[in-house]
Amino acid sequence: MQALQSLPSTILQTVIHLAYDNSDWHTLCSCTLVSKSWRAASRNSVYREISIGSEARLEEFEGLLATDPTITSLVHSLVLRLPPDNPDFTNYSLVAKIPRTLSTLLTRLYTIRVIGLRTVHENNEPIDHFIVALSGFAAFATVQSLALYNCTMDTSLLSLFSTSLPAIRELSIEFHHIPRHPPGLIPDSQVPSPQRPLLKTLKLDFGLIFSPAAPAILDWLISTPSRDTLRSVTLTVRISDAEAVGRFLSEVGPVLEELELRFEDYFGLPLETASKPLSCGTQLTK
Amino acid sequence: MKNQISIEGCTSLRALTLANSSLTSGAILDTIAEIRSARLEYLALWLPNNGNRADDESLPDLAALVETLREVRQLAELRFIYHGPIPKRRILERLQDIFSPSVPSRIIHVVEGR
Repeated sequence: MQALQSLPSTILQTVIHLAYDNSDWHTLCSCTLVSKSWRAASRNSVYREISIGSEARLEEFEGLLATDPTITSLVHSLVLRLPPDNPDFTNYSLVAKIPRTLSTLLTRLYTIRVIGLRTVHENNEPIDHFIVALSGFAAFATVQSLALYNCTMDTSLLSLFSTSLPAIRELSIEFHHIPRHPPGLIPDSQVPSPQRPLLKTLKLDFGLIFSPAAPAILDWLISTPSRDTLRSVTLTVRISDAEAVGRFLSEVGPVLEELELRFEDYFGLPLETASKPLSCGTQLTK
Repeated sequence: MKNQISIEGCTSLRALTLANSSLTSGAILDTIAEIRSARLEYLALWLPNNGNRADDESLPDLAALVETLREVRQLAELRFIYHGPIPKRRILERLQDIFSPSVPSRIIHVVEGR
């Protein structure tokens, strides 16, 4: 034990982070209880990723940062986990408060992950609030990576959100849904910059459930400058998305350095991947 | 008929992974045959799960892939991902036989997928 105590703090931090492995909270909590030096070395892992799912939690975190300002530089990843049972229109309030509250405090934030954000409502008023709320993320000047998981957002809002982040280079979208909004959703004053986003890395996985999200997002990306800046792409390809993926690869293919295609089908039936054209007009093979 | 997904235009690729849970091996090989990248260093492919057999019939016809990779001189890693009860070493030895001498045995790797 004495030998462990004499380890340089940077090595101890690395050992603890490897033991934590981004998920093993039980081990991480145990490490913080070993000694004062272990508790200090655990701080990087404890505060590396912060998850916020309510305004009460945000206020609590704000209070913690006020008590110990050294934490602000330790947070590299912010997870906005919106509760699924919340009415849609109450989410924008929390979304709007995040940049207002945290953008000036978290000076080394690199990743924002949003889980379960839904911008669906029959009344357009909450959508207008979301437009303002998502535009506010422009204040996160250091964020390079945006990950959306199980969100419901149309491409104009997605475009607004991603282009709001001035330093964004990575975009990851999983299990996305596209709601039906009337055209012209974004007012002219909020139209995203045509010079963004300049993505280098893209990861899309829409799962097996049919959704028009893949063609809509791929076609949107082709229309942005990312068409020339993308270098690494990971796509989960469903048979229904084959045409859109083909169109996308024909546009960005020449500049890609890394490509991962994960083929998926609905039922695993030969019909789905047969050579003859399918009723939906798509095919994967010659 | 023309592929709707083609990687023929991806001429700058350094790394390519084709993960495939249920498509036929023919579909993979058609795609692989389109590789024209002069910079390809890493190629990862999923082998179809053909049950317990470890003889030649358990592997797809890899002749087209062998022929294609003969020209890819800078390939540094050829990784096969498989799922099944066949011993990893046995699959590795079969693949090394199939690709010899076009692809050096030392760059061929086999890993277990899901």
